[in-house]
Amino acid sequence: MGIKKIAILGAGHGGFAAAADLTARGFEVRLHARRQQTLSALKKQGGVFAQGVQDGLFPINLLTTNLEEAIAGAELIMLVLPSVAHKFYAEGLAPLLNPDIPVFVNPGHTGGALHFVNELRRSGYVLPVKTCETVTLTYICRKTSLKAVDIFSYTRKLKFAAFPGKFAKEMYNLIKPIYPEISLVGSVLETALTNINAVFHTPAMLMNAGWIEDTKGDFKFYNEGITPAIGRVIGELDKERMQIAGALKVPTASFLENFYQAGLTTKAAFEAGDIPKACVASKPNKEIKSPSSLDHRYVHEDVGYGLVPFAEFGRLAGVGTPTIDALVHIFSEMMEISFSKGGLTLAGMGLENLDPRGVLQFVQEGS
Amino acid sequence: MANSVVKTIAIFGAGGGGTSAAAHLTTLGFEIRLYSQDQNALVPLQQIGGIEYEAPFGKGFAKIPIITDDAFKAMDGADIVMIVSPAHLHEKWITAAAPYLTKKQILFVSPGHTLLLIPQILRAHGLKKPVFCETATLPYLCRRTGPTTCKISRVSDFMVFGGFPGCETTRQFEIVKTIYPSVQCFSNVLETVFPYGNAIHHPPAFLCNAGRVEATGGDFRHYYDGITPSVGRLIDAIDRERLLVARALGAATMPFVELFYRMGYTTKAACDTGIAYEAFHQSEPDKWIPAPSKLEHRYFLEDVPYGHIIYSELGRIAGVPTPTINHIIYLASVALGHDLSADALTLEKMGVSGISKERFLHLLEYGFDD
Repeated sequence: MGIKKIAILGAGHGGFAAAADLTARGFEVRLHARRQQTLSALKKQGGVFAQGVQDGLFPINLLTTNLEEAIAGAELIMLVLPSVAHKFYAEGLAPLLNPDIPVFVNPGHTGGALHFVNELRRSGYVLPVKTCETVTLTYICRKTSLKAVDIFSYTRKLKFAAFPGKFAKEMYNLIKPIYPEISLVGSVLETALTNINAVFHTPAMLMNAGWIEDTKGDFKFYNEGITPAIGRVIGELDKERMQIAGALKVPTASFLENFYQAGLTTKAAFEAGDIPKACVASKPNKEIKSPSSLDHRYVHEDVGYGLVPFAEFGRLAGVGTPTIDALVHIFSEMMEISFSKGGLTLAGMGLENLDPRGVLQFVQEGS
Repeated sequence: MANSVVKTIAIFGAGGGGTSAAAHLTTLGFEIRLYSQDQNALVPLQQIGGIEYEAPFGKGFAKIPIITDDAFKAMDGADIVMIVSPAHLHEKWITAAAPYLTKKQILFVSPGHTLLLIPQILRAHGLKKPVFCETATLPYLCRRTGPTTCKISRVSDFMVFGGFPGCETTRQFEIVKTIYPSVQCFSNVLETVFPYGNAIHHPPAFLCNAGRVEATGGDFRHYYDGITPSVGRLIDAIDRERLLVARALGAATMPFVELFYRMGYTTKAACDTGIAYEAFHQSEPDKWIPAPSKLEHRYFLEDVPYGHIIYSELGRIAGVPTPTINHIIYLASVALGHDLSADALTLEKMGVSGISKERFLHLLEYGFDD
């Protein structure tokens, strides 16, 4: 009864990993990319070459830049995209989608499913839709070339929620056989407020901005770049995030606990309550280099689709967010981009003009 | 010297700036008394009776007749009392000088940029209608190289000068320019607070390099490597807020990049771009300056509480929002783990909390009524 045919939209780190892994595990995969050049090396090679969790060359059932072709007959659409691309795919899918195809936003970061559905609605899609999301990607992986990916591991204990929440059980039962590490939480607000990338990438990007630009990121981002002062800013930001969750009655855990639960650091570092230590002790992140410029998803996604919706939820909850606001504002000046205008707002998630109670009802019922 | 009515100058502070001023002004023929409360700084100088200097105007030994920790002895009969110290020590030096200051003496603070702090302290010591003057920056690019030596790399050829109250600026200017011909006469001490360059660029640049400072112990060049294009844009944003505050208060000032050029720190080409990144990237004097080795450093500890916070406070008086400046103050405090506004130079500390814009401007021009 399980799913066989999966359309993977997006051919970045996660799309490559999912295409190889799911093919290896017997699914029929269609991999979609926006640009032909993203796929041409795969076509020449005859599939995705993977190392790690899966090893070998995996021939992908379909490689296409045509959305209609990608989703035809698919039993699941999986969006494996940076948040900034959700709008583009929603616009493309609006005329093609039907209520029988569930959509898995992998990852949703903060408000991914809400945002995707809102963009579908804005693009004229009126029928029901079932979506679900994980907070981060289901893989820890890095694309190493135009045709190869290293899949270090599956992400462990991954929070998972459905939108509308009333379909949670159904969505969970659908995805669990594919990704056994998912664990169902109360609502997409809980996944939204568990976005740890926004919590620790953004202070580290700001407070290493000079280093990044001067050396084109020639240092180890997590192992060297998370120092005591940066740890203090991360800690303060995390407090604000937890206060917002508390005010919205959404269960949450600290950054350190999430980081530990995701298998990214040691028990000792978690128990010491020391953020820089936990980052230095992170084995999976140890060798990861810094981005080579600020023009990177650690800023575009983690500020625009992480900190901005956090601040919006703060406003909704009546919780002050001075650290978050400071980061959003300063990045806007440094990048000459208005993140608070261009990022994901309550309106962008379809939550405008609702009070906290209205929001809780909306995420459950979908209207 | 030949044209100066000034003969004797008491210099308060025996750090890099104080000793450089003592050496330089001695070579110009003034009689210098050097005062400090720091025995470690004084004793070696007392032993040799002066200071050895290396400077663009030569190398040598400046004999200083009085080197003392007795403020009266230093000040008695001096024409000018010159305070040369970081802003957070103004309170200490003014407190030491206040009992002996006479109406005939010129109180000259260089650099000043602490607004009404000095008159407030003088009044607290019973001095009515206090008068003083200041420059926005130190007259020298210099440092103390040893217990008996100092090195002057540059004598400033452009210093913004203002007096308090504003109506007393010109009189004081005529006297100070006979010892420092490079002073430029501005209206008052509001116009010396805005060109406090370090306050504009140190906090943002330090914040954006905090990780590198801590990870490498400051193993990079603070300005040349650390002020990258996006860090420069943040400095530009801060400067725009500062200029809006100045304009709203009717204070004459110039963009940071122009100021930096006028002070001889960068090229005309860089100045013409109007961009802080270019100004620093083309700064010869600043090029090799290494980054501090830790964050507990005056780039935060002085330039936030005595710089960014002043701009924020003035923004409040002027009704001009200063969001970038306020966010930097906040994040620097979080990064350090202690609140930099706790010991800051606030309106309250200057004894004028809640003052209106009109009253504030009146006070700057005419002084206290007492």
